[in-house]
Amino acid sequence: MSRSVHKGPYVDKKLYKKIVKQNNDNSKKPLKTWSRSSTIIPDMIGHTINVYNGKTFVPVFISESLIGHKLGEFSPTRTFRSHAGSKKAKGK
Amino acid sequence: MQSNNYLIIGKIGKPHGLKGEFIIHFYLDRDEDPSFTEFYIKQGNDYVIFQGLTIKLAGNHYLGKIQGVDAREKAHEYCNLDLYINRNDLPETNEDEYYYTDLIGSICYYEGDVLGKLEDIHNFGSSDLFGIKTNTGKYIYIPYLKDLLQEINIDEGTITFKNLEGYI
Repeated sequence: MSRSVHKGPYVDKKLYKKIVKQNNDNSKKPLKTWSRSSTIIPDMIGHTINVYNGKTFVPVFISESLIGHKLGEFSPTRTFRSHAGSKKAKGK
Repeated sequence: MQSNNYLIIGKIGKPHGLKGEFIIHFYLDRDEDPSFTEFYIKQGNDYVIFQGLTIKLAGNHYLGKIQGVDAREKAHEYCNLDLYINRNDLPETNEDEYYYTDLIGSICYYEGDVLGKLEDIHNFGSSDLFGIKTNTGKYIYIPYLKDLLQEINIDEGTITFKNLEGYI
């Protein structure tokens, strides 16, 4: 069952406070959070949030395409290794 | 930073159908086609051209067929074979784009000191992440953001970072 629309998306209160504070200060320092279930909202665009995966903090750079997803989706809890092949790293 | 001139690009999987075709698992970017001219296989310490291989896209995976192999039993003999390409066959990259294989193994610097060695590059959906093993043995992730990168020198095998407060 999906979440009621009138409640709005779920975002951890402490995380939201930090985001608002950084937006007011015009700061982009990475934030730490354990709240993997928080929804990514437009206020977070341009910030980097270190999301805990049970072992380490994985930096998640928030861009427009991530809005509506949960933070935990970008910080996997299981390790996956693959060959480098012809994959390319692109700067953002 | 690769040790030799050949890169592992894929692996032959299980046979498909009865006419000697097999599935190939490629290690490519999502939007890339495996349109390489020549594939190589490893025999002992040497790499030899894998001749007669044709590739086609079928649904979500690639199917390969070797000239002269017309039965499923024969295709089974090629199962789990690694496919290589010559590094020089890869196309030139755009600005701010680097092949993972060129970067892995680079020594990372921050504020004049050695930070660690680049062990791996991941992409979990947001941006490319450099997985660095620091001198203290800690494994850290640093996103590939232009604001954090001072210089990448492929020839010397070094990466210099800046503004890493909050990441290390």
